[in-house]
Amino acid sequence: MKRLVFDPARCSLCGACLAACSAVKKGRIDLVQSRIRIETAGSRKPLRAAVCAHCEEPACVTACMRGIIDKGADGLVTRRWEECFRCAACLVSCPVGAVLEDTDRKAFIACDLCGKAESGEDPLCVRVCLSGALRFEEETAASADLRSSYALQMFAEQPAAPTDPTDGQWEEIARMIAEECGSPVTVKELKSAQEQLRRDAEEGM
Amino acid sequence: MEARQQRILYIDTQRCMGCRACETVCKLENDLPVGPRYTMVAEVETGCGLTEKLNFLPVPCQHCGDAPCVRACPTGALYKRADGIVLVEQSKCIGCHECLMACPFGVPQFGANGRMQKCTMCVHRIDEGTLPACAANCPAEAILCDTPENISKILRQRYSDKTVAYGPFAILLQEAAE
Repeated sequence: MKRLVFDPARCSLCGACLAACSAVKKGRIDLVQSRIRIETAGSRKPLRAAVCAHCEEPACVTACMRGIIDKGADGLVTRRWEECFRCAACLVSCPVGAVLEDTDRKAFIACDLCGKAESGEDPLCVRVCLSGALRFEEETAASADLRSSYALQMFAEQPAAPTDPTDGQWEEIARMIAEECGSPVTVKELKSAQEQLRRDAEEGM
Repeated sequence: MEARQQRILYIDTQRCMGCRACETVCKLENDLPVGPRYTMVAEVETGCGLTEKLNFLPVPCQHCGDAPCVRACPTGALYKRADGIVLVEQSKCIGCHECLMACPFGVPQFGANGRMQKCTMCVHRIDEGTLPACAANCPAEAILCDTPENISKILRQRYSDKTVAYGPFAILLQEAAE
């Protein structure tokens, strides 16, 4: 099964993945409701992505009071969120911090890979990540990628610091999000989301 | 055991010629199916024209002193043995992939059971007093497994061998060419 793999060295903290996630799942850009979060070390240095890892032996499945979280045969962790009574046991037990409360649905939810696990197509958050920090790949491919980039550092020059999307790229991101969720998204909204993300990161949230 | 007795896997990139004997013998030694690779030879092209060169770097587990994977593991399945070898207790692993994200070298592997497995520095062979399979079978002796002090001794010996054979000037020329 393919998974979301995050490479902090390539992330410029542009916030496109968070905006895309909330736009697809909530119909609006709301970083707090994004099912993927980028955790930072101190100020603006991305450290890791908090997103459901679809663990082999998920703690949330064991913890859930109502037994509505299932680990499917395909490896996906699914939730029958309609029945959730918000005991927060999954949120507390999640080792990767991937669970959040959906304020509209009144339920605890996590990343479901937008149903792309079977087809293996890239979900929107991966497509809008133009720097290639967020990828959707098998563990073996992710490991080979990491090993190759380490070797590249050994022999060739240091990789350039990640840069923000250019104006043209912002427009492309906005177009992709609008196409996927059907409602128009402006570059201004995306940029203000990015500013909010960076402010939160600097305040240590 | 004292920390400075920790063994490391040292890769001499000037000697590695990309034969992948280490990859093959690792798979055989650890009985690995298709998928997980405890070591992988990464290839990097540098230079262009006359200086164009293909470089090879085998990437086994570095058994870091302060291993990020051990810190990242939420269940404590990963641990450092007294002699510094980083090992995983598969019964504790929940397959959350945090170690893969934390490892700067992409070493953690996941097999069919979805649980993490990794290079053990051939711990069964170390306990018997023999070298890990990759180090023992490297035809170029590019992979060394020893304490840092002993590896330093070997490398100094190799350098002085070269100096005596070719003269210091020849080495400078060779380095300038690279």
